[in-house]
Amino acid sequence: MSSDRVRKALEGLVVLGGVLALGSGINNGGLSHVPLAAVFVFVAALSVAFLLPFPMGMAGTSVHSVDFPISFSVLLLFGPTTAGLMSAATCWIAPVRLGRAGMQPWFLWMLVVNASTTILSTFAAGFAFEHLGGVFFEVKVGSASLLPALLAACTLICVHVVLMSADLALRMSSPVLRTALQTLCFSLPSSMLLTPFSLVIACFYPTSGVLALVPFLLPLFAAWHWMTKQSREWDLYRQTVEMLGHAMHRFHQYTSAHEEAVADFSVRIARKMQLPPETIIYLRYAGLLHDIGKIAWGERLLDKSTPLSPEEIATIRRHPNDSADCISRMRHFAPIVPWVRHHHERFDGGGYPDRLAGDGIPMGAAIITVADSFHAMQSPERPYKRPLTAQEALEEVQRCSGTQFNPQVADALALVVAEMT
Amino acid sequence: MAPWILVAILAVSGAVSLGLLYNSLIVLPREMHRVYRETLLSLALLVESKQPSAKGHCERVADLSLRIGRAIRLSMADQHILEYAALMHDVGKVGVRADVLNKEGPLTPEEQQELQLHTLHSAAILDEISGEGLREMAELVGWHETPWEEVATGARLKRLVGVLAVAEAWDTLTHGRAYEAPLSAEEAKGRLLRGVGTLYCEEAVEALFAVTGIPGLLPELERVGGLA
Repeated sequence: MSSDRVRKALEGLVVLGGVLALGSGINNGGLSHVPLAAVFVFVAALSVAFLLPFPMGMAGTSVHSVDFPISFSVLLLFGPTTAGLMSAATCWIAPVRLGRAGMQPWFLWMLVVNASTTILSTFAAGFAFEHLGGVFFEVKVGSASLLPALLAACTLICVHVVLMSADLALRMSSPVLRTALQTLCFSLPSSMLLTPFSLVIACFYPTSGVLALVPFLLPLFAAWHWMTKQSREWDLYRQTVEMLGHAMHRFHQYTSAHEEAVADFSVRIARKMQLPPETIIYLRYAGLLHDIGKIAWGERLLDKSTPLSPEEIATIRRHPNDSADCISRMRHFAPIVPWVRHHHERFDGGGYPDRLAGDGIPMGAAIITVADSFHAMQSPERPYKRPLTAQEALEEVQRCSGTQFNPQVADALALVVAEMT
Repeated sequence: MAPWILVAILAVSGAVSLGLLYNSLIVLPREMHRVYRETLLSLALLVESKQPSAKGHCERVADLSLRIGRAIRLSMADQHILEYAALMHDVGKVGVRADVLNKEGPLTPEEQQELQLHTLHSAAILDEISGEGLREMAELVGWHETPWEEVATGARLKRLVGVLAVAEAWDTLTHGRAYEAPLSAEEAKGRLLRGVGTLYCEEAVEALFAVTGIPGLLPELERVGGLA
């Protein structure tokens, strides 16, 4: 409770500080010498710099904004008041387009806090720049304004990251310092790499005008084109694979509903185990495709009510290998191949195909094993046995935890089931 | 500020942009084509493993279709569709019982019917896929067992259907099936020639003989009245 009150106090202070800084800046004539046309050009440039979709192949897309070079060059040119106002006016673009939160009060408040944080860090950077001997609108290649500019960029990032992570850490009740350091490790180097663009813009804008933006905007547009196209293509590919998997399963009594459920439970278990997001995404495909090898079976094997010959049992025991072999031919599914191959191993080493045990079984495989069995126990199609309820199936999984199933995964399943009921 | 510095910077950023555009317009489509080919091939091989006598059929048909497609100068996009369709043309066999697929004696009428249903299954499976080129692939697969005369689609797709049908027929004739011994090249050629214009597309048959290096086509075509 108290951390929530601290957070609210902090947010209030940030917003107050932002408004005061902006107000006094405007009052002191911080906006008077900025031509209106320049404002339009820079705002337009800023808004394109938002939301660059970084494609990560099968793992989806992560969206980043690369507005830093533009907003920082505005600071170097026109001073903190203009830069702060412009950033505040554009910094809502990314959250609004990404967030599916709708216009709820807490979301609007978050936008206000974001804008104020941006204003405060811009003013801090402007302060640093001036006091280190820099002059706005007078940045020169190789002159004394280079070092102040770099340090100002550093200040901007540090203040911004510290304020944002303090807020985030208080929200999630995680340690402030560690959150801040983690964020800094990522954003400081990337912003430093982008700073040269700001310097080029700031150096050449006074003499060349809008032309100075071209060296940044040209590659930005090209990169945007490339990345957008790439992530669209990958989306399409992922859809294709899912569709093909579903459609082919449909022709066997082994319904695709089971595959879908295994994928769903695997993902939920992995979330409870706090596995990395990329693993979770791949796990979905592993769940969908784990039994794909079965589509090449004759029909007798799928009809479980008749006794099977030894060869047929051998075929059944080979199916994880068949599925894995099929998937291994698709290079981009490489991470899930071992998971699929080992999804019938047992924790005590009595499974197939390789009789792996304990930690020798990849975690992804252990998760699919649990999700697969948990869902199969509830299936109405079990010959000889009545379907179990979710609670009974969970008890069964827990009974076999440590022998058939990985205890860590079984515990996570208990959390998932608890959440469902 | 010296203007040449800005010019140099512009040149560098222009080069970077061109590089990025090259990636998005040339490298990416090539990469995606490889990825799709790989994926479809692995599914095709999986389905094929249900029917040992058909081993290698899809890959050979894809290869042959592609060679014919190049010979008749199909566009790159059409070649890709053709290749995908060739890889996937038998995917519907996943819905046919293994006993029927692997039966060595003659099939009963019901079994015959079940086997023929696989083309419909294939089309149904592929129908679920959306996306520009891939939609046409489903259409192609749906038509490829229809006699050439009766294929009722746009001229562009009909040409592709013709190529796929001829490549498929050639491979089946020369490699045989579970209930049929393979024919010699000479016999297979005779079969195709008899069907030119009715069962098979003339352009595709001609190109097939050109790429497989079978001589003496033109006089025979004239004899059976294939060339008007």
